[in-house]
Amino acid sequence: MVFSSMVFLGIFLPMVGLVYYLTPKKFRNLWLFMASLLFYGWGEPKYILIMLFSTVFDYVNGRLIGYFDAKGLHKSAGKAIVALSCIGNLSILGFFKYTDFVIGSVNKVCSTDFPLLEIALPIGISFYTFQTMSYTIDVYRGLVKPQKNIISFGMYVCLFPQLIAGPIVRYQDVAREVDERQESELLRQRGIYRFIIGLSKKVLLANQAGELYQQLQLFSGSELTAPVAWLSALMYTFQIYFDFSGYSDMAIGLGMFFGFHFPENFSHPYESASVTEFWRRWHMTLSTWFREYVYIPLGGNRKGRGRQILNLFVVWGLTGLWHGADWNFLLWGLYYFLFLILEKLFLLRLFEKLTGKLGFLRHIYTMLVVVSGWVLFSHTDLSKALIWWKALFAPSYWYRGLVMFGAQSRYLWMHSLPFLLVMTVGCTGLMQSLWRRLIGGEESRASYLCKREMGLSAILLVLSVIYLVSGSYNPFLYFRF
Amino acid sequence: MKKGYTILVLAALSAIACSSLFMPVSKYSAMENRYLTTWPGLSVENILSGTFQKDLEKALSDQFPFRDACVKLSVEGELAMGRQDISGVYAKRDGSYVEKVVSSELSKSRFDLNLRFLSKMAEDHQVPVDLFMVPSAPEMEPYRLPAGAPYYDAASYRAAARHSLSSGKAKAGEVSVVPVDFQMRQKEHYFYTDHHYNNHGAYECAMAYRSYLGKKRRSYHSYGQKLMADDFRGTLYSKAPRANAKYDRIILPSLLQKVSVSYEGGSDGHLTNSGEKDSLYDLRYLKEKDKYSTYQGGNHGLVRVKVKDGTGKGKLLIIKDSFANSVLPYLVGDYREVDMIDLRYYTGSVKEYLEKEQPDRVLVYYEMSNFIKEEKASALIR
Repeated sequence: MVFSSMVFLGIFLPMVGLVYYLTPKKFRNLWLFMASLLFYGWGEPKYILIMLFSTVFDYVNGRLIGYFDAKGLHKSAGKAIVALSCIGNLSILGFFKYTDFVIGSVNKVCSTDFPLLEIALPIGISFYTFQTMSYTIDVYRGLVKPQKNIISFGMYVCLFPQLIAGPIVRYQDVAREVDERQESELLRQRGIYRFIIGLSKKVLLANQAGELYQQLQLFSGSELTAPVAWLSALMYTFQIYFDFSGYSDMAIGLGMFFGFHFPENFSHPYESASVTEFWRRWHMTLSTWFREYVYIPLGGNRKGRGRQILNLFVVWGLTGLWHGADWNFLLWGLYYFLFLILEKLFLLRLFEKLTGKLGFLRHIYTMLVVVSGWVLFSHTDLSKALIWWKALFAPSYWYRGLVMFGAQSRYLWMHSLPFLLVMTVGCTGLMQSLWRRLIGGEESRASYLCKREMGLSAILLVLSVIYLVSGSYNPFLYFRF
Repeated sequence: MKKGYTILVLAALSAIACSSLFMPVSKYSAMENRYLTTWPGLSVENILSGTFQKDLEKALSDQFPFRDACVKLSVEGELAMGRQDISGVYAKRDGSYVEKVVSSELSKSRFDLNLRFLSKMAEDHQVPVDLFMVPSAPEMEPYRLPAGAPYYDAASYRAAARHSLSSGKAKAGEVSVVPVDFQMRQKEHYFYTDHHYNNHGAYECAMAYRSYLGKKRRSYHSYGQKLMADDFRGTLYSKAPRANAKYDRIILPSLLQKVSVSYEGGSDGHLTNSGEKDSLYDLRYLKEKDKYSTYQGGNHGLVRVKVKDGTGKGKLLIIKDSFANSVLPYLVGDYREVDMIDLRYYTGSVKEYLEKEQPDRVLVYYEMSNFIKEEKASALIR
């Protein structure tokens, strides 16, 4: 099931919410667990089994580590269990996500013809395997106590708000709240409000931007010009931000509804003044995960510059691959590795001189890197990525766009401009500060919604439902062959 | 109020979703010209295969009571955002529409292939074949297209067809392109809200074909034009409906020869058809949303027209898309018999038809981009 659907909004959420609050506290975890399984199994019932296996596997691992710890056998036995857990989780992830990529690559390099397995990727597997791994590692590190109640643990792993697209909630983030959490009307209101903001980001902005992006991707041959390529790249840039951050907002909001505090995942990343800063603001829970469980264990920056560069290389290669099993994702990760290293070595020091009025140059540089990065990210076919890159920068494409296809460029840009403006304002903090000024004073998480916030959320919700319903509107014109 | 927000939102959401449960089930959407998804049956099998879940989601949207209003509002929303191309049509401020056809939808190789099928058919049966490609709306009326809006390059396709086929009236075994001079007109030739041309367009195209055959042009009014409806909003309107959309007029030529018409094979009209008739029109559709189907009640696999009076000679076969439906009334007077085959619905073999029926001419009649896209042209030689 997805959040932006009538089944979720009109049936699932009200029902689960109602029953949750009618249920005595000690059964609430069980109810959330069951509801989450229904949520996950809605589209593909059989993949529930993989998730349940992950759950039981790491529950047992956690208990075993706890047992060995209590017996004083911590060091070696615990280490073995953690290793087992990591191997188990990574094997599941590797098998379902990367097998075909490896087979395909081997076939290409060695000109062999091994058949692909063509397994459908179980939804959310990248997220929940990372979560369960973080649990056993944290138990081993002594950061959290092993969870004794398998229902509570299952609820943590399968919790539907963040199950499909994050944020990656580490067990230590919510350990206390899994067992005892304080739901309140305040949290519920703020949660629903946050959810509606996220829903409208997804339905009103991301979906429209995505549709425009798809249309622009159809341009080819002489019609593909620099203005087309830029518009297309920008549409993708906005689509992925509003889609992903909207989903995180919805997850965080739903978490609040049930009394959880999930970590934030996005903090206006497109405002960043360097690539380093961008990655502190984009998909923050993933960066945290890789820092905590890969970069620091590898030695981080404590073993000399050479080793640090190698560590970063590994982390960014893996980050790239985590996003998808294809070469472009790997290259995309390493593309960022390159810029991060350059910034570490000298760019950031150089930037310090760009203050005051020249500060905007740093933003332009950052967005250039990010936008052209998305071009690589969005094309699994590398030759296509190259064409679209060329279209962004090569003078011949500019000449075609401005001289030969001037009218078309003008048409495409003029009709997208208001939408682009809305999205540009929407992805920065400007929107929030304007809104704060309007509602007078701080938008506070600690107070009930004011009338204006209620009004805004009502309007956004109605608009989202309108767009959702009309999204399925599909006139079938029989004259088409 | 302060505390009721959460409950209010959730109650409103479930009310929205459930409102459709208490409404009568609607099976067919005239706006969308398709059958809607109705409530799925609950069974273990359905759930395990996932069809129940999928259909429930579809039905919740399809059966939503304010569905048409939602669509109109979202169209207004997109227009307010400055967009003009919505769901595959250009919606202009004045309430008119143009269908959006872009180059990436069309392929030159498909087009060349289709031309080759025509040549092969002409050669195999030693019959003259005339290819009539009805100009797309912006070809006839460039001002209908928003300035700079992407549109396929019709002129280059037309030039390519002229280059590879013969010119002048086709002789037996030849294919010729019927020349259309479409830039000298004054009236609107396409509907404002439908992807078809209107009565003027059909008339002009018929005259172009007649003069290609060496016949004299007849005046527009000599056909006895009659206004049948002035509240037609067609398929393009359905794609991006809005309150201020224009209305089109259905005008039919009424002074025609006496005919008897029979229909064979599948069809797409949603009213049931009653076999033999003595008219080229099915006037019941004037009261429906889909008024263009007034012409022969929509598309049929095979339409056979026998002309009972007049001076017409010979037998014409038209292989066509829906644009031929409204040109047919202007053509029947020149023949004894006219048959129309629509490859989308015709189940028989064109080859056998040609061998058995031996028509004097074959007219291949399509709107330009439809012909370029036609995927069933191989059926012409089978």
